[in-house]
Amino acid sequence: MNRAYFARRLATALLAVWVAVLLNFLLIHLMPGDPAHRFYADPRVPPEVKQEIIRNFGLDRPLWYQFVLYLRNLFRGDLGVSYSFQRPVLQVIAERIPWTLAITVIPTLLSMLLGIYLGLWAAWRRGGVVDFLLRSLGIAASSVPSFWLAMLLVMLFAFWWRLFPLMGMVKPGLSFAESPWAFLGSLAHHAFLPMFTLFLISLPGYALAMRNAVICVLGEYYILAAQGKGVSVRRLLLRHVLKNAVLPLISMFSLSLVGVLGGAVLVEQVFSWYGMGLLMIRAAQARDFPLVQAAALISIVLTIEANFVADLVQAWIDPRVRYG
Amino acid sequence: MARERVPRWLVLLSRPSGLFAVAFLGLCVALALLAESVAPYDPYDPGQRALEAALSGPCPAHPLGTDAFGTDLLSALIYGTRVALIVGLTTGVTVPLLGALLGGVAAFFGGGVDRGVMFLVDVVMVLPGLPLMILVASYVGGSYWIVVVLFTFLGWAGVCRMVRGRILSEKEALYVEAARSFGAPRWRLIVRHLIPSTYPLLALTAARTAAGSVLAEAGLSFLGFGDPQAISWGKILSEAQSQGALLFGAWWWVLFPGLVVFLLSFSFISLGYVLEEVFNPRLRRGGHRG
Repeated sequence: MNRAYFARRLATALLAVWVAVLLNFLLIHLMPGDPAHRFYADPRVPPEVKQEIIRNFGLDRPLWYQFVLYLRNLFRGDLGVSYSFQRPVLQVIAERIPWTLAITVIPTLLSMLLGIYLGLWAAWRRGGVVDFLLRSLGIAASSVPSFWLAMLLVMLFAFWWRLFPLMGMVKPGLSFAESPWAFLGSLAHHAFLPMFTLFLISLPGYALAMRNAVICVLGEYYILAAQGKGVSVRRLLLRHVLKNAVLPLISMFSLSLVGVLGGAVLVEQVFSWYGMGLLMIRAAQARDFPLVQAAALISIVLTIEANFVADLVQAWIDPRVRYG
Repeated sequence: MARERVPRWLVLLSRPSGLFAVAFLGLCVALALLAESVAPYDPYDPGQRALEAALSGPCPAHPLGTDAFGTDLLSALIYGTRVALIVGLTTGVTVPLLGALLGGVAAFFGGGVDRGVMFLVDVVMVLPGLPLMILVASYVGGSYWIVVVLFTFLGWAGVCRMVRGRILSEKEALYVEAARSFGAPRWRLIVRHLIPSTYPLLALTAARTAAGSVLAEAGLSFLGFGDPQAISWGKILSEAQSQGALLFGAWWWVLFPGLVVFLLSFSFISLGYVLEEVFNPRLRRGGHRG
């Protein structure tokens, strides 16, 4: 791998993380009101914990010293204690991450696969029915608020047709220990609508991007050469077109992670699906500052990392990126 | 082909999507300005809530129905255009402006300035918007200005990259070289040729940004971080969610507010595509557009 490219990407990613950390710290101190109050003036914090917070964050010391302490705590993985849970925030967040992954991973992969297929089809029969539908619906779909779509789906499938539960994650009273299959079944039943919403939201973007990439590739001379050679349509699309057109989608996949995380926040709110997003919303509403901060910081760092990894993967697969 | 000069606004209105976009945006602006005289009720006045008609579906007295507090939804939607338009129009100006400015600076100065700005672009591009908005909202409380500020802070990067690329490639274009060989001064090249070459891009990004910020404002209000004093479409949906519109089957309370969010955002996007065509005659009648 090209060293300079790697170094540049790494520097960008690290600087982005640095900006996020700095923003996080500055927000505490630049916002109106006494910053110290946000740490311990909450009635939920017992006095002995208060003393420990003051010492741990150096709240009686100058600002630069507080920043050093903040960095030190960050490197130790100590992001503070949640006001509302009275537990380390990392613990609280770690419990919620699997729930968000449970409704985001499968829809993202499925919409990507179907998007690749639809994009190939639309581009191959350019100007045809699929292409027309994809272009007109694809542009319109980007204007549909995700949470509104979720609410409409709840209205249709849960309220009128009673096919799925209105909200929640499992039927109350079920536990994994007692009846694992009933538990998992109920979980899947509850997860279907949130997953379906996220699938519908991300599909048009992938399909349109794939369509445009395929149209670019179809104009290349090597496609003409392959056609002249008498390659079958199936082989042409799968071997010559797909391989080259799918590359930009890799970076799109990572960028869409940002969108999926954002979309998941809204969708989790509609379905009361208690994942990372809903945790962040509730923490912000409860003014549980350590928790909101940590949750925001973690989602920002995750996004930056995803982008970094995608860049590397793309450069690894496609030499044009490395040397471009 | 004979070169006839079609007025730009006529091109804009000759496309169905352009006509729709202009009509709907015009309607929204008119409603926002004239809300007091157009809306049948004042949704800010608790005295005008019809408690006995709470949660009633569309009927002659309330064409779009009422919410659980008896507020007339049509009036609330009319007043809600204000927040949506303020957010959409402000970001639609600030984001392209800041992006064009920094992109232009990077392209014209080159060297270290260029590298510095582009590095900053790479950094800002990967910062996600929604977690940042929630974080800021938890400190300053709900406000739609959060959307405006954060959209500007994060949105300029994409515009900057595009504007820079456009100017750098246009610099080498033959017509610019021709103008230079005739002895046109540097400022004239910049003002007459290079800056106008970015207009189609800027029109498209302005419209896309406006569309995106309208959606983001609705989303943020839906999560409960909207301005507590102002009626907005997202807030109506937030109340619909928290007051159990889905449990009572009050479909009008969900359908209409979301529909106007969609229509406004869609109008902005369509306007962007048509404006790009208006500013860039090469796209017109260019056969098949991708």
